[in-house]
Amino acid sequence: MPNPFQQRASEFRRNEAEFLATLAPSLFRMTLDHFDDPQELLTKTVTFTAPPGSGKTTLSRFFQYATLKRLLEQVQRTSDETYEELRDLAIERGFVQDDRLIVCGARISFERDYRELSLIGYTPQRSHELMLSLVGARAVLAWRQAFIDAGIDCSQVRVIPTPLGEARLEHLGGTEFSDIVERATDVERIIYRLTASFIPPSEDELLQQLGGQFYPLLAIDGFAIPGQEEPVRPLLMIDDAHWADRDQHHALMTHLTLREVTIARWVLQRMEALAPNDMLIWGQSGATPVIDGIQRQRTVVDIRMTQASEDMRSGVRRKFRRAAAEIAARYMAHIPDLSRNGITSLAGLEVRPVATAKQIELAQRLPEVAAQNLGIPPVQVEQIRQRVYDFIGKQTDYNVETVAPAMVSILLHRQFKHTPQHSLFDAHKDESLAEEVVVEAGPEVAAGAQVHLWHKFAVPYLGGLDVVADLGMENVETFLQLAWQLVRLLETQEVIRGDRSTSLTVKQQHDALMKEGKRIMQEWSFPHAVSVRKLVNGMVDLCVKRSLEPNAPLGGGANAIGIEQTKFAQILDHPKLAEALRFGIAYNAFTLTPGRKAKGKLWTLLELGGPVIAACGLTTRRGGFVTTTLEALSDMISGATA
Amino acid sequence: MHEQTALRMLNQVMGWSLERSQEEFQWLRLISAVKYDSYRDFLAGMRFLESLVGWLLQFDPSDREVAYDFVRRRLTFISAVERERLVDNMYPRIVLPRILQDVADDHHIAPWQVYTSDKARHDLEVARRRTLFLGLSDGARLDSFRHANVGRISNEQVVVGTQLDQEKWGDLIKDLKKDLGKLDSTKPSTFDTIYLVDDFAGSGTSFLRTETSDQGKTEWKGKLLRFLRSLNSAGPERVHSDDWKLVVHHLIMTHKAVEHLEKAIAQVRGDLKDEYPWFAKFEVTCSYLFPTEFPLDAKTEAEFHRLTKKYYDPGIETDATKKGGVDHLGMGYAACALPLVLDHNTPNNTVALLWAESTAKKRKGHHMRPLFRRRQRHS
Amino acid sequence: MKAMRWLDAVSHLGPQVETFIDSLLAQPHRSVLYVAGAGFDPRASHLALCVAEKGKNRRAILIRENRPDPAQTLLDRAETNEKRLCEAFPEHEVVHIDVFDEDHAVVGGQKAVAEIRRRIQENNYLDQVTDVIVDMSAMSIGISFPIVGLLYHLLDKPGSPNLHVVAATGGPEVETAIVAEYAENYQNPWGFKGERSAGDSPVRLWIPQLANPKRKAFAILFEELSPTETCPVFPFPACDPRGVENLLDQFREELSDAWRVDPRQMLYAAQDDPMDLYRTLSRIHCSRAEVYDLAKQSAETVLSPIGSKALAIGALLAALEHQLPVAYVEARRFEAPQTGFTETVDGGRFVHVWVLGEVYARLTNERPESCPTSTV
Repeated sequence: MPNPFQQRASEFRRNEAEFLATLAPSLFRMTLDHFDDPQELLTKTVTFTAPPGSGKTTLSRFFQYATLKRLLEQVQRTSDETYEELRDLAIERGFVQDDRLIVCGARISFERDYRELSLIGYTPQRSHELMLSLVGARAVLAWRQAFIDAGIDCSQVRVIPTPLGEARLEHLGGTEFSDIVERATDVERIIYRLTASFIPPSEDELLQQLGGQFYPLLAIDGFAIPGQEEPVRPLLMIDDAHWADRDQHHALMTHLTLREVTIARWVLQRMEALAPNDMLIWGQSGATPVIDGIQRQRTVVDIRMTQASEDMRSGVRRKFRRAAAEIAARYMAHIPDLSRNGITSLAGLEVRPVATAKQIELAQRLPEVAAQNLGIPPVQVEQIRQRVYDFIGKQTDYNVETVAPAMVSILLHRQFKHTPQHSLFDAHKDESLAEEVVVEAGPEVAAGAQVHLWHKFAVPYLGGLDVVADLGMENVETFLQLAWQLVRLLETQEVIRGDRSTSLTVKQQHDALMKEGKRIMQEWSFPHAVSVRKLVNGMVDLCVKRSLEPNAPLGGGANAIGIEQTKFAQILDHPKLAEALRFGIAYNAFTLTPGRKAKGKLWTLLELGGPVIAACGLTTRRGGFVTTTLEALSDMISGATA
Repeated sequence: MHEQTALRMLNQVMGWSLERSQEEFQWLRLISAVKYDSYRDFLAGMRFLESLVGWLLQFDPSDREVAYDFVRRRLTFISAVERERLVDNMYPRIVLPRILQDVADDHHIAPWQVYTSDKARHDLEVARRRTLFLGLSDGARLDSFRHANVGRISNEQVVVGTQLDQEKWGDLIKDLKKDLGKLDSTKPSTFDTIYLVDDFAGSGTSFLRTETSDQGKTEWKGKLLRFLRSLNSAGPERVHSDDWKLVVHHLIMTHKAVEHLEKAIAQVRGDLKDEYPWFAKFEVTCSYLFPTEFPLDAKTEAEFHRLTKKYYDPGIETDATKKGGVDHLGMGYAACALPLVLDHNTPNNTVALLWAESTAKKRKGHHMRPLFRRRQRHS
Repeated sequence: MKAMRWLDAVSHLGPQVETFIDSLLAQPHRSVLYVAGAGFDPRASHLALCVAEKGKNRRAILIRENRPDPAQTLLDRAETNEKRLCEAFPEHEVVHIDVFDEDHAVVGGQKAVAEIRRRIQENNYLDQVTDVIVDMSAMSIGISFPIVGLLYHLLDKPGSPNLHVVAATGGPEVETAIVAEYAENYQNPWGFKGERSAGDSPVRLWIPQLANPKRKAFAILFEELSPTETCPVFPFPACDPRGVENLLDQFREELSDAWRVDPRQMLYAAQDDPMDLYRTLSRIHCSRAEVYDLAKQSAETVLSPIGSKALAIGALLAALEHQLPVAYVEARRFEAPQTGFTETVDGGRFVHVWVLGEVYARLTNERPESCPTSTV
C-alpha cells in the first residue's frame, strides 16, 4: 500500500479496494446532499467545477461501475460502517437499487489529445467533429473497460438504442456491444495517431479512413447485461474538461445537451473552464449564470464544489473537520510503522501551548506597559483583568499565563479608544472622571492575543487536529499536505522514543506547519505564480498590520482582504489582476467569497489559503478582513507600491 | 540490529532534535539502502547504521557533529553498480576511439571516415582483434567487460591476471591466428596493443614505484614489472608486435596517480632499457578521474583535519604503508587525503579515520574504530 | 536481444566535436543547413560559430521561442545571441514560435514542426544541402525534440542529406535559468506520444532523469503519469564525484516516499555521453517489450529527459527508435539565475551524434530489426 498521504487518492487507478478504504463519505455529501432528486443528476448534463484537490476526481472515481461493484461486495463481506455509509450514498444517488447496480459509470479525461486536434490545421468544424468522435470512441472503450473490470463478458452485452437513435446505432456497428467496441477501437487509433503525426494526412484521406462521424452518445440509451433483467443506465463522466479550449468546450457542451442524448453525463472541470466573469463575479448562491449562451437551467445543473453560501459556511467547516478526522484516521491505519504502534489518529495532538519562562515574563509585562502609556486608571485595569480571568478560567485550550495578560493589554487599548480624549494627566488624577468599562473578554479577543503573542514573542498557537483541518480550508489535498508533516513527526518520534506517543507539542506542530506553509508558497510555479506571490505578499502585509494593531480591532485579526462588491464587478478592467486571481484561486492561494455583508455594504472577499496563514502567522478564525481596492491589488502585482 | 534501534541509538549519540532527526533519518535510510549497506564487509545485522553508531561513539560528544558532517557531506562511495557503468563504457569511450584514430591515421582520413571505407573498416576489425586486455585484479571487472562486449571482443582477448604462463600465451596466440585467418588478414599474429586494466589508482604506486632497500639500493617494483617479466618469458614466438602500444587503464584515478604514472613509466623504460620487451608508445587512461579538489584540504577543512590527528593510533602504520613516503596515516597513505570508499574495500589512500582499526596488540594511541573497515589485500 | 540502431553510432564528445566539425566541413562539397535556437542561453552560439567558421556553404534557421511576459534581461540576451548568429550565417531566417497560446495551452512544438515542414516541403530548403545539423544547445525540449523527430522521418531514406545533432551541454550550473512558472500539466513534445494511446491503466515504467532545480516539474509528472514503476536516472560518471549523493539528498522525499523507488531500480548514465543512456534505455525497453508482448499486457515506458542535454539526446534517440513517449513540463516563465549566468562555455562538454546518413549507408541493408514496439 503506497503512502496515502503522498498519493492523491484519486489516482489509485489500479485497486478499487485500496481506493475505497481511504474514502470519507462526508466529502461527497458536502457536494451532493442539496440535490434531493437523484434523477436530476442522472438526466441533465451536470457540470462539477472545483479547485484542485477538492475531491472532484475522487468523486468521479467513486461513481465508476467497477468501484461501486466492489463496494457492494465489501459491504457483503465486511461489517465496516463506512462501506455501508458509502453504499447508502450510492442508493440515495440512484446508482444502486435492490442491491444491484443500475448505473454504469465510466470516466474519461479530457486532458490529453483533444487539444492537439485543433492544432493540426484542419477546419474548425472538422476538428470539432474529430474531437467529438474521439470522445465517443473513448466513452465506448471506457464502458467496455468498466465491464471488464467488473467481470462482465462484453460479448454478451447488448446496446439499447435511444428513441431516435436506431438508425445511427446501425451505422455505428449495431446492437452488439462488441461490434461497436471494434469500430470505436479503430476510430480511436486513427484519431490518436493524428495527434502525434509529423506529417498528417489530408482531410480527404482522413475522412476515408474514418468513415464518417462516430457519435455513440446520440444513439445509446442503455446496456442489457447478462445476469440482470433491467438494463443498466450509462453514465459518462468527462473529467478535466478545463483543458478544452473555449470553442471545444462549447462544442462539447452543445453535443452533450442535444435532445438525442439520454445517457447520464457529468462534466468535471477546474475553475478555469469558467469564463473570468463567470468565475469572479458570481452572484449570490443559487444564481445560475449563463455560460456559453446555452440555456442552462433546463438541461444543465451547475455545481460549484467549494463555494458554499455565507450562511452555510460554519456548517461546512464543521463537516470538513469531521471529514478530515476520518480521512486522517483511515490513512494512518495504512501506514504500518504507525498502525503497528497504535498511532492511528491525530486526535491526540496537543492544543494547549506551552510557553517558556522568558515568554511568560515578557507577556506579563504587557498590561502594565499598556496601562501606563494609555493612562487607564487602575480601577478599570482591575475590572478588565477580572473579566479576562473570568473568561479564561472556563477555557482549557489557552496558555493562560501568556494569553491572559495579552488579552488584558488588547482590552486596555480598546477601552482607551472608547474613551473621549482627556489629557493623560487628568485621567490619572481624578478617578471620578473615568468612563465605565465597555469592553468584554471573549474568544475573538483571545484569538487576537494569540496572534500578537506569536509575532511579539514567538509563542506558538497553531495546534490540534481541528486547527489543521481548518487550515485545509475545506480542501482535502491541502489538509493532507499539512497533516502529513505532523504524521511524519509522529513517525520519527516513535522511532526515537518508542513509547507510542500520539501527541506533539503545539510548538512542534506550529513550526512544522509554518515550514510546510512556506515551502508550499515557495514552490508555487503554476502560470502567473509570480504575480500571485506578489499579491499574496501584499495581502499578508495588510493583514498582519491590521492584526497587530494593539486593540485587535478584528479580534483574531484579518486573514482576508475585501473589495466592495460593486467595485469588484470592474475586475475585467484589470486583466493582469484578473489572470492572477484566476490562477491564485485555482491553486488555492486564496479563495473568492462574494456576498459578505459588513458595515452596511456587500463585499467580495479574497481569503488567504491555509498554508499562507500557517506561514505568516495569521488567525484561523474566519471573517476578519482588510478593505482595499482593485487598483491597490494591481499595484501589488506591478510593484508600484514601495 | 533492527533499523529502528540503530536510529534510536544514533539519536542518543548525536543529541538531535526531533526535526533534525527526521531529516537525518530519512537521508540515512536512503543512502544506506542505495549505497552503504552494500559494502562488502557488512553483514546482515551489522550494517552501515550500526557501524555509524559505533564509529561516532569513539569521538568526544563535542566532536561528533564534525565527524558526522564529514560522512554526510564529503564521503564519496562508489558502488558496484557505478563501477559496472565504468566498465560498460570502457569499450565505446576508451578502446574504440583509439582504434579508430589509429586506423584513420594509417589511412590519412578522419576517424569518422573509417566507416565509409570498406578497407578501413576491415582494418578496424583486425586492429580490434589484435588488442589484448589483461586485468590486474578482480576489481577490474574484466568479466563484465567481456560480457558487455560479446560479439565485438572475443573471449580470447580478455584475461584476468598478468602473470600468464607460456601455455596460456600460446593459446592466446593460436586463437589470434585463427581469427585473423577468418578475417582474411595478412597482419602477423601478434598483439599490437595491450591494455593493463585495474580498478583504482590513488597514488599509482602499486602499479609502479621505486623502493630504496636498507642497503641504500633503489629498485623498481610494481605490477607493471611483473607483467613485463611474464611477457618476456611468453614463449619461443613473440606475442607482441615490434612497435606495440601499452595502455594503462584504471577505472578510477586521481590526478596524483596520473602524474606519477606518466612520469614513472617513461622513466623506468629508460632505466631498464635492455631488460624488458618495451612498448613503443604508452598511454595512461582512466574511466573516471577525480577532480583536483577531491582530496581533503587541511586548511579549508581544518575541523575534520584536526580530528584526523586527535583520534589517531600510530599502531596502524606498517612497513608497507610507510612506502608511501608519509608515516602518519591520518590523511591516508602517501597523504592522498581521499574521502573515498569503494564497495568492495576502502583504499588506504583514504583518511584513516574511515577505515583503520586498532588492534590490542599494536595499539599505541587512540583506539580507532572504522566506519568502513579495510580488509588488507595481499599485493 | 535485438541489435540497436545506434549501437555503434558515430558520435563525438568534448574537444573532439570541433575536430570533427573541422574535418567534416573541410570537404568542399559540404553544404550545411543549421537549425538552432537563438535564445538567452549562454550556450546558444558557440557551436554555431564553429560551423560558420569552417563551412563555406551554409544557411541557418534560427528559432526564437516566445513565452509570455519575459524578463527584460533575458530578452536582451536573446537579441544579442540572435544577432551573433545572424552575422555568422548571412543566409538565415529567424522563425518566432509562440510556445503558449492565449489559453495557456502548449502549442510551440506543433508550430515548430509545421514551420520547418513547410520550408522543406514547399520552399525546398533542402535543395543542395548535404548535412542538416540541429543544434539543441539553446532550444527547449518541447521545440527541439519535434524538430529532430520531423527531420528523422523526412530524411530516413537513401539519398537524403545527413542528419546530425549537436549540443553544448554545460552542466546543471548552466543548464537553466530558473523556471519561475511552469505549465500546469505535463506535455509530450509533439510527435512523442508513443505508438498507441495507453488506455486507462497500462503498466507504466517512468524513467526520469533527475536534475535539481526542477523538483516541481517532477512532482507534476509523477502525479499525472502515476507510474507503476519508477527508475530514475542518475548521472555517473559526472563532474562532481558526489553528484549522485547530491541528487539523492535533493530528492529525498520523492525517493523515500512518494515514488517508492527500490535502489535496484536506479539507473546510472554518463553525464556527458548521450550514447550511454541511449544504450541503457534501449536495452531496458527491448527486454520489457518482449516480456509484456508475450503476456499480452499493455505496457509503456515513458521518458522524462529534463536534466542534462547530453542525456536528453540519448533519450531522444531511444524515443525515436522505439517510439517511446516522452513527458516533460513546459516552462512558462524564466528568471535569470540569482548569481547570473556563467558566460564561459566549457568546450569539454560538447556532444555530437551523427543520426542518419552516409556513415551508416553500408549498414542499411543489414539494418537490425528493432525490438517490438507495439504490445497488445
